[in-house]
Amino acid sequence: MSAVTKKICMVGDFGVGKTSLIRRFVERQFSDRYLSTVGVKISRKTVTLANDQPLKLLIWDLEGKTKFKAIAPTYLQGSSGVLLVADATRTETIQGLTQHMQDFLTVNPQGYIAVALNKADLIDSDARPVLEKHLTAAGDRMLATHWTSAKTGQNVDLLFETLANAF
Amino acid sequence: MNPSIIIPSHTAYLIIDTNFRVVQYAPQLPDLLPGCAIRLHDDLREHLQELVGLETVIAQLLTGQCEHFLIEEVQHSEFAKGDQVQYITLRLEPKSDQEIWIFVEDVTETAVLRQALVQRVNETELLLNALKTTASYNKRIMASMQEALLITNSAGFIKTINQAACELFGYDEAFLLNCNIADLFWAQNQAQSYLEVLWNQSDEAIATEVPCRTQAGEQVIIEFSTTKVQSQVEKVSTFVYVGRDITARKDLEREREKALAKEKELSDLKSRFLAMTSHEFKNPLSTILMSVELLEEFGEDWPPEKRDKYLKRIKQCTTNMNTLLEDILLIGRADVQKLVFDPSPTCLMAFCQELIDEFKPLCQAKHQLILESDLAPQANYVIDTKLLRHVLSNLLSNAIKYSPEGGSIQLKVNCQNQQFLFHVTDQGIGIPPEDQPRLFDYFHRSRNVSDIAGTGLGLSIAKRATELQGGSISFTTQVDRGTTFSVSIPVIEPEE
Repeated sequence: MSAVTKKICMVGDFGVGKTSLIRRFVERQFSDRYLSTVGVKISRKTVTLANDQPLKLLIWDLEGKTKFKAIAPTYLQGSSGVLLVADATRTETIQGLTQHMQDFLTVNPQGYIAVALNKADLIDSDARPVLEKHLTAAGDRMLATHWTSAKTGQNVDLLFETLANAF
Repeated sequence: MNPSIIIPSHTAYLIIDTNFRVVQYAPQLPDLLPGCAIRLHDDLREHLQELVGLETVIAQLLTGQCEHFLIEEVQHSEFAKGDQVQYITLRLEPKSDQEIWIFVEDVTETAVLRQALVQRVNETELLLNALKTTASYNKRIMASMQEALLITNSAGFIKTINQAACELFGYDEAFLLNCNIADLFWAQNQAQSYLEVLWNQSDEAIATEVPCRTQAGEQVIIEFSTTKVQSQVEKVSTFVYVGRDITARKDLEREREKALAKEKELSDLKSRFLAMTSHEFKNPLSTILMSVELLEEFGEDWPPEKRDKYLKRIKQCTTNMNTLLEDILLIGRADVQKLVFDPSPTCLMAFCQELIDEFKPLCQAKHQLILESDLAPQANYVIDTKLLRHVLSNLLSNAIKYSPEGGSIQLKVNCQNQQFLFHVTDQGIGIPPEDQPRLFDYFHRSRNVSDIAGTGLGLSIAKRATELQGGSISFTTQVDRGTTFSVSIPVIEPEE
């Protein structure tokens, strides 16, 4: 049985760990070295859904938003879902998620959204509720928010599976 | 192909139908995408996955809803050789209502350049962010410190301070940052020696206490812990001072020391009191015991005169002990504030005359006891006769006792400036200068009293009794010439 293919995008500010999350999910690897992404890189991974059906994910790793360059909306075209990624140690990247969410929903009103508060290994658990208050992205397309760590692997599979199982 | 379109060398084209099937492609396409084996009729989405999900876009292009669609800088490692990556940009344009142009441009060169640039910019931004966060965190820690923090260069000039330092010294930040730390010290002439102590504090050293001056000119005692830290320049040190205001603690320590000293003094006094009283009681008791034993043993054989002599001795000793006991009880009552000032209208001169009469039998022929006064003999005044008796009887008794050579003993009474003045003057042995400061202390007796009996309590009682009447007592004296005690007690107007 051939797998259904779905495009998903990783969106967030630069340096939040989008590439690292994909690398952890697809290649089971992690590197501390920061390598900025330009343009887009597409990775593939087939996952087995909760109903045992295979699903081929085309994961678009988009160049992070900087103050000089916004996310190009054409990348988001045809995406079934988006993973909004923030660096939990940089509050402004969490605050920026609302704008990213709106940008995505403008192109894909029926798309699904999951949020990753990444680099959770660097955050004390008592600081989490305070940081979550900065997260104002919400709505009926929003599936879940996960504290993730590409470094330790914490909740990385769960993050992608949350989105995959929504399709 | 439309001959009007000029296609540059790093660009190739493809034509696809509505189902993404390849209808035609440029001959240079295999060179442009070396790892990509595209053949006619292939579904292009299998080779270029960036086209997945673009069905709606294709429809929009074919129906003229949009003129073109651009997917920029898509990274393909599978097309490039070795570890290299290839970046391509796809431009989709309608060719007809059934076909779409796809222009493929190799943008690797510019993308790699841009990657290097973005990498540097983002790294710098991240670093700057981290620095800002750290600086703000450090600043918050410094601001939250209760202790004053001052960082100086090796010459002592202040480079960094926290809010607590400004509050402690009362200066604003701008002023302190122009100061040398030594300018804050109280004793400017000792500044250098304090700095040397501070600069040489080892890790284990206890903090150094330095009296400092605040902007208001007040002295505060600061406990400084100093750490030497190497500055950015090798072999040049900076000093980190953490200062705590211990003025209140020092005051408390001083109070405690004072209280301890007072307690020790009281304890000494008590010991002396006990030693003195036991000694004072022991002598007459021994005399009584010895006399009683002798009387028991030999009384019946002795002539009546000798028996009387021993009985008189017993009586005398008992009287002395009684006096002592009364004095001690009186002092005890004064100490626990049971002795109260209770004045009532009295004929003062009659009271003084009575007192003089009482003392006359104690005088010898060589003494002359004189009462002098310019007060009206019958006048009534509001006085506490009980307390005044304690004062005057002790002074008169001392005047007689300490005038072994005789002479006149004068009690002079008058009233001036709303004060009753009592002067008791003798021509006795006087009080040596060394004993004068402690004359009114319990049990203190001058060194020149030789064998004249006394308890050392009389003057203490006189002083306490005077003070209870709101008065004061003083004396003038000369050794071997005599002494005058002067008591001044405020006049109380009789109630109407």
